Amino acid sequence: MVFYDAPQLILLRTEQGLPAVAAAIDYIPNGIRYLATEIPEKTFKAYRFGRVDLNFLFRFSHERRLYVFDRTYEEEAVLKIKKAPEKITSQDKNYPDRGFFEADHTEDWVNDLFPEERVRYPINGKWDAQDFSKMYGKLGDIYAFLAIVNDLSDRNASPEEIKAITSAINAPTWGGGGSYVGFYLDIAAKAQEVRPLRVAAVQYNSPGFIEVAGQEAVFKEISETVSRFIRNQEDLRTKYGQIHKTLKLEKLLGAHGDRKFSSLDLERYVYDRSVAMCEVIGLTGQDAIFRSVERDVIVFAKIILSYYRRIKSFVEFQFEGRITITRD
Amino acid sequence: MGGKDGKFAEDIPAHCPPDGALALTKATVLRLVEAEVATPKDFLSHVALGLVNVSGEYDCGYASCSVFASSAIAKLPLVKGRNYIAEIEIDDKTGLGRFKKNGHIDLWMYKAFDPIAAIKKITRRQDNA
Repeated sequence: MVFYDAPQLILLRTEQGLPAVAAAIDYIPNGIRYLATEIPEKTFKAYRFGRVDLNFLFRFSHERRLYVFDRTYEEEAVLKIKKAPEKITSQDKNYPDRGFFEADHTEDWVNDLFPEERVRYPINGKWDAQDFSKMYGKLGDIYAFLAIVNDLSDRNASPEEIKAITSAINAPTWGGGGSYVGFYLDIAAKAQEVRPLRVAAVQYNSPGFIEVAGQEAVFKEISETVSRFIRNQEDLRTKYGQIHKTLKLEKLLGAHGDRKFSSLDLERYVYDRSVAMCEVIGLTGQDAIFRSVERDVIVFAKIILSYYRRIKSFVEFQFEGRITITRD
Repeated sequence: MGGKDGKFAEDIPAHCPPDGALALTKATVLRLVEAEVATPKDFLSHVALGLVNVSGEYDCGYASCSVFASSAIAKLPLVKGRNYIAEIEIDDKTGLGRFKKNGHIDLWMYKAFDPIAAIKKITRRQDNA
């Protein structure tokens, strides 16, 4: 990551599969001794995207583990690391100073660590800033939702990461009429920490394009989601209507407080319809979402309905002929 | 040896500088040095310092002199003991360079280039600067 006469900062993966950042601290015969900090993925991604500095990774990151190893200039692929002794960890000189960020690196990242893709959506017709803002807002909500669901479903996610994501999902008080906008703001903030979405380029003149950059896997899911939505519009509209009507009749739309379904059959009905919507859209993480809302069918259904509305708003731009998201 | 054309300052192997190393243009770059008066040792590569002993080909960066544009690199443990920053004038007579991010250059200096004479000034690095 940083080279100054020799590798000063290198990136490793430990046997447990966690990232470790190692800083050169001393010379050894034909090599260098490194102090490494093994950190959770989320913390490493925060560093990767410039939200914490290198000193944080070594000094303050929660759950960090410090190791030392020697590396010769012959660059072995597998290194023997051992727990850093107190005589090394107690010396300030072995830590980077405050204020060194990812932006200060001298080397490019290896692409396969963070596969980022740029997606270009051709646009036509009249676009103004408001249109762009609306479209990008819906895209951002869908992107954040899928990124969060992926993380919830990730077997490698730590309990702390799951807890943080679950908190973001449950932050709005759904029973008190919590805002969907607030929900998507919360999960978008969470998603931006680890899988940022950004605008890469825009050309408004018709024909033009909107180019966004983000995680390749999420964009593939968005494309698949949109294709499925277009192919199954009627079915999805019907299921949406059934869920929405039931919640309305049960007075569970909006602020439902402590109210429950009037019967288990109705609860089961709404749950089954919500799961069916997920299957039609191709949302594979519905079990993880359901667990994250403590199996509350009302909240689960509301989340799925809100997600449907965002896809619909996003796809409407394609129906209007103003953007090409998929070739369906 | 002296590199591919025999015109480089250090006794570097024939595969260095690497293909893709470019001629330099006039610029001011920075180099960390040990004291307020620089010595030739401050500009020697790891190979010239005898730190590198590799049987096969090695990365030519080990045979280069790293210079940079931002002093953030001075925050890293192994280099932060060098408390002085030298500003050096380079140009197309200096040597060849491999350009990295943030104005960092792996520099292979020509024999005719004297880095000490090219120093404009040396300043003490500020703590956490």
